[in-house]
Amino acid sequence: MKSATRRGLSRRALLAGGAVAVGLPFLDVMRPPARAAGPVRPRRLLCYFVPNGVRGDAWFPASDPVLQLSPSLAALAPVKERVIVFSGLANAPGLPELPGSHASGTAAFLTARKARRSEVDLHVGVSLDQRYAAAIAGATPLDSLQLGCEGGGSFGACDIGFACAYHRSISWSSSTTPLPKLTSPRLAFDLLLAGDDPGASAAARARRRAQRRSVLDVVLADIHDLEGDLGVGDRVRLDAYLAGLRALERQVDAPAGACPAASPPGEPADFLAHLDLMNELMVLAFACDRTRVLTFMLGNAASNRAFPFLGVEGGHHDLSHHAGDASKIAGLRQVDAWQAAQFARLLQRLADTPDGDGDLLRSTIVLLGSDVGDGNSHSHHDLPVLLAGGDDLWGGGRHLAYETGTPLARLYVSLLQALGLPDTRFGEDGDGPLTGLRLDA
Amino acid sequence: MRSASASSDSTRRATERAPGHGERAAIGLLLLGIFAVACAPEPAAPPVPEAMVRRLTAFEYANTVRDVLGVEASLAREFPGDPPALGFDTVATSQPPSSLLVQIFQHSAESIADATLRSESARAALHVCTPAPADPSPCLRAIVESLLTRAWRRPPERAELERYLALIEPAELDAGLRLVIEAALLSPQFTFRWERDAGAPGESHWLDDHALAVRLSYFLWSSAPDDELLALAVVGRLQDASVLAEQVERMLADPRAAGFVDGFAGQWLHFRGLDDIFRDAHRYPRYDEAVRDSMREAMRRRFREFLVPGRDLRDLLLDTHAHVDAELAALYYLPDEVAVGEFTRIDLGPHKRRGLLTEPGLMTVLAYPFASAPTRRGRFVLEQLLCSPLPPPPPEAAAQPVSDASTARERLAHHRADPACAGCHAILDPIGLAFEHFDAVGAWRGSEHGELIDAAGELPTGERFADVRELAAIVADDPRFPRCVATHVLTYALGRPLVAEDQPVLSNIYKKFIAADRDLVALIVAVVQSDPFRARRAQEAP
Repeated sequence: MKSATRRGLSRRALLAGGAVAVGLPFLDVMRPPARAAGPVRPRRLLCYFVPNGVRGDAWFPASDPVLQLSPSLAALAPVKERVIVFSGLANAPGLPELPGSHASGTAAFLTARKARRSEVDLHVGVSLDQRYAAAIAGATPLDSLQLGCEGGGSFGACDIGFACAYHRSISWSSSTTPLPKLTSPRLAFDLLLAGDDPGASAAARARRRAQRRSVLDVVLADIHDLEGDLGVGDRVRLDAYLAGLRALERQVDAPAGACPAASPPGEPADFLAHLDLMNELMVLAFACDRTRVLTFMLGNAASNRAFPFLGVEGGHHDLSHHAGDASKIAGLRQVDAWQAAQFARLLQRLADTPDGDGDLLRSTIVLLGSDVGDGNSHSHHDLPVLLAGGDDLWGGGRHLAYETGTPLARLYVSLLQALGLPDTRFGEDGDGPLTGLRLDA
Repeated sequence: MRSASASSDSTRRATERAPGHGERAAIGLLLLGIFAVACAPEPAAPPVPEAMVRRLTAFEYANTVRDVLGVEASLAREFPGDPPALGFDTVATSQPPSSLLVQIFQHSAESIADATLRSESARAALHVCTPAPADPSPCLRAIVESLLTRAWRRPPERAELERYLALIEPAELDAGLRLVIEAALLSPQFTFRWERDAGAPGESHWLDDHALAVRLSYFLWSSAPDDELLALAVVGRLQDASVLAEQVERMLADPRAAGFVDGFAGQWLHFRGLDDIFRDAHRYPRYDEAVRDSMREAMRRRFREFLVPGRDLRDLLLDTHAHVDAELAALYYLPDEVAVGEFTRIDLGPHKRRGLLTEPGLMTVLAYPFASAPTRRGRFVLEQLLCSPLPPPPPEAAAQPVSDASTARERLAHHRADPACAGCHAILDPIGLAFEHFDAVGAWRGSEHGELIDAAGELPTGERFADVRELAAIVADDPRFPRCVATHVLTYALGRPLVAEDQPVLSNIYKKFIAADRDLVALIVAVVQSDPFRARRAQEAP
């Protein structure tokens, strides 16, 4: 995926400033939301990663339990009553013994575990999203989907001694398996709809399913033949492949689902168009119930994306190491505010999309976070953390200030419990749920 | 079904070049006759480290589809990239695959099957015979056997062949072939490079001939073996060291060696990373996608010169010419009367440039979006060319103090005033600052913020240089350079980290490289003839 950011940006730049929903051609599910009579239990999880931390002085709200939006979060105004901002949370396992904070912080973002410093022997932990995906496996055609806007340079080292996978994945299905993310809207769209051609007749689609079934049977037999020949190391790889084929089998057997007629997205013209398409794909995935677990990386760890459309000079990572330079700090605040605006637009789209008796946001837990707190000093405390949706459990318009150093992983325990799991611990330091979050607890 | 298209002209030519099925059988028989006495390798293999099976990278997948089926795997460009480990994506593919990837493979296989049946040339290559209406079976068998042999890089077993044949109803040949292609490409036999264990767990054994052909072709072509390699494998000739050497020369002269240029050099010398480099159009009006593509092509051409025997790899750094086309001419400030259109060699004499280290593409990859990056450039020389990485910076280096310096040299001088930083930067800075005449898109400049640039420096060893051209000569003569090249090539070839057991092998390869006056082809031959390339340690039983 290539994102040209140089041309034709003036209109986009205007739109990017505020929470303006850009209508996109391939999904039309906007209808006025209705309110359910009883409480809605969240059943979806969306984790949203922004790189390089934030400039805290303009990001964190004033110390008032009623949310007063800070300058960097101003764009959240339309959805403010459905958002909780946290301060004081820390992800201590993200702190590496030697430099490499972006790799270790990103690997720890959803795992709350310390990443092993290695180029080939990856190890961290199961991520929050994958813990939930495993618990509800089979409920939807795709157990989970990982998306992002930055593929990552196919060269060089990423962070000293850490494999690049730590930089580019936040989802880990096991402590040794990072899940790669899709950055291509077209490929993501095709996979979401499982290659179904919505224009085809029912008979043609049924025939296609039967054919897929026979292809899978042949490939499964190939796997069976291989199994006996393999040693223990290669067997692990084949088993992972087999798990993927089993997931494909479930998809072939799954009902088509009530997905509104959707046409595939084209090649995005620039980064902003790319981001819009990814937002729409996330809404589509939930609206059609193709999956209930999404993760999204706005950028990879230590992303050095430039923001010429904001009039900001410099790459994001370079700006984050501002060394006190006033113009860089101002640029960083602009980037933070822009990121919040993108996130707000996604929330608005979820809020505008009906789901049962309510809207998608109400039945979805949306979590935003980063690898570090302050990008200049690589701190792993005072992290930017934002929660949206799941309103019936904890409301919104709140600012929850905790004592500095309170484990982020406690929030993850709370989220898993809210999603109906019995978990009482998570990661290295999630020793129980976060107090004060639930309205009923 | 929208996603694949017929192959480009060059791949179609490659398809046409390949002999037909009957011809291939004839070659095989001929070879069988000539080499009836196959050269068996030494009976017992020396112990080699364990290696895990590797999946095809997106690049290898696309090349393999092109060479096996003659169509473009257009979706492969959109596969999630394999994040490099030890600098190479081929090392990362020993990680277990995710379910998402399997789903992508299925989608891609369907798209490629569709493209194959739509393309006249690909269809023709697939149909190695015409089924007789009365008895189509023998021809169907030949078609499927030929396809599986090429796609799986080995002849299928009888049961496998029957299984795939069962997908075809002779009355609906196209529909059946579509499913055969879909299954063949989704099969782990295609997406992975399996090597069979022979012998007791923990013991090493020589690779079978097909596995060796596959290692060779993915090393030098990032693609499947061609008919000649498969024919040699059938008769056991690849175990012969001299045959391996001949094959290396043949393969490096083949256009498919572009797989080694992009797969190895593209990652070692970072030019693959140009895909992700964007520049502000106002500050760098000369830089756009066309320039970027030309930068990459110029670096490819510089590297490719060393894939023929008889070149000294030091010249990669020392050559006084560059490959320049119309897009790059402006970056070189070529006068209009030097009308440059297609790529041509220019003399760098008047340009204060020399070899790889002043390539605009390299200078661009090793820069910040809005400025040169002396530390990145210094690190590149130390890590990629000399394999002498510095220890990581201290934690407090993340928060740098404010600096009002106007040049990079002054800024780094302030930085070195901090004793925690001084040790490493004393090594790093003189190298990195030697490149300061080249801006963030590799154009030459005399000054920065009105101050004249001083590119001269002195290494901790006391060696002095006036500019990057003299630095290039120092690096080229540094004994760490050829050893580092050998390390990178061996790591790429084996697709795994080098361990202590590999050190004698590496030393031996290095000695042969030096003895051949740093001939890269000789280095590659030495790698291919080495024990870890030709042998495998049987894994523990599950």
